[in-house]
Amino acid sequence: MEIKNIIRPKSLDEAYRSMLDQGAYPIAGGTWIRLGSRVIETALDLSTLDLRYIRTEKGKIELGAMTTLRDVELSAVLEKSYGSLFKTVVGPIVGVPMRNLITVGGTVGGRYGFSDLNTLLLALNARVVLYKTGEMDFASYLEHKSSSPLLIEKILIDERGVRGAFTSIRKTKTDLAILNAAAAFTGTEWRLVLGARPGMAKLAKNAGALLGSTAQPSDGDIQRAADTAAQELDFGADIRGDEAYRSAVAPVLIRRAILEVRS
Amino acid sequence: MNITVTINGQKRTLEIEYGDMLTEVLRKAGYVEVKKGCDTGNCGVCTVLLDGTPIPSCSFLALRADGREITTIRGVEKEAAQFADFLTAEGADQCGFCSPGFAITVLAMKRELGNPDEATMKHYLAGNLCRCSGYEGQLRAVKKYLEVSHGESI
Repeated sequence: MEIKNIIRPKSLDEAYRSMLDQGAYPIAGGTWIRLGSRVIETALDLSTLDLRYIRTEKGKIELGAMTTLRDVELSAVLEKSYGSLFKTVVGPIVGVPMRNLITVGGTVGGRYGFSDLNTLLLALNARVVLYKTGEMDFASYLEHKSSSPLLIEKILIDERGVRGAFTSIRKTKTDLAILNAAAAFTGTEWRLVLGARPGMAKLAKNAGALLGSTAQPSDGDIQRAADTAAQELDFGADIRGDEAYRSAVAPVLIRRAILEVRS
Repeated sequence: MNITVTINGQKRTLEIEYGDMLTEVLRKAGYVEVKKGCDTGNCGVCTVLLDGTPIPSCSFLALRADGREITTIRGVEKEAAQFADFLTAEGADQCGFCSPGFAITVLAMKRELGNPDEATMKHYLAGNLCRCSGYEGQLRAVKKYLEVSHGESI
């Protein structure tokens, strides 16, 4: 990896302008950037911006783009609204030193297929705040293709904790997931998500609709939703697992996540 | 570009390329106690303290260290030697390649959590891999070390 020029902006506006005018490549945590042999003409170092915070504002919890996964793991604000949910999701990611570097913004912006956090954020119906571009719901952001630069400022989730659960299967505790799943009940609807398929997280809309608007779906409805989720989403193969394995495991993970939310 | 970094209490000005990672910069500057392992942030052997916080130096852009404080195992030599005695006593030293990064993370855990329970210890240390010891000896050493030293500051 080679960086030919670096911009260390003093403001979001300067950062955005450098992306727009010079095609600057934003670096958040920077933990993945060195993997590969790319040549970056102009890199944009986001660590100079004041984007590391977890705070509440108008009924939302705001996660600044440069907030680390360790910050998320230890956040009293998130624990107050979501109990141990975020800790469960980010806690097994590599180790404490790495979690001190990996950022929320980098995870979301990278749209990584293996991400555990993105699976949860999609289930919780998070919103992505993009400087100059505005707010976007998480599903739209993941699928958004834009020729203009997108600079993530922060992620928003409801301060009123949505009931959610996350589960995954992996070869070792700190390895990337072979498949992960999250379920959330917003009070009016169920949101069921599968990630590490190995493609990026996707919402199983038909499966969620089968559960209706009740917080206590029946065992039969849960099984039907779990089977439907596995049928409506597609799976692929990589070094960790093949398509058949993932599609067989998917309903099990979804069912477990729904049961945990229902309990 | 040049960065000015305080390494183990000593201010140093180092010339770097924009894309350099901290492990390489430290090793070139003579801090060869910072080991190079997987080079992907997964094994923990390159762990150093950045302003007191443990990070994998292989995954950290050196330019971001400008104006900050880095501590390698040499910067906490006395405490590391004390901990190493426990590793040796438990037969957990083996090849020793992972020991500098592991010891740094143990000392960071001690500073942050004091003497935590076993589950918390395992969780905190999960990012530091060892291919010799099988971890049981290391865990015994950490427990015994923290039992006798957790009141001491590093």
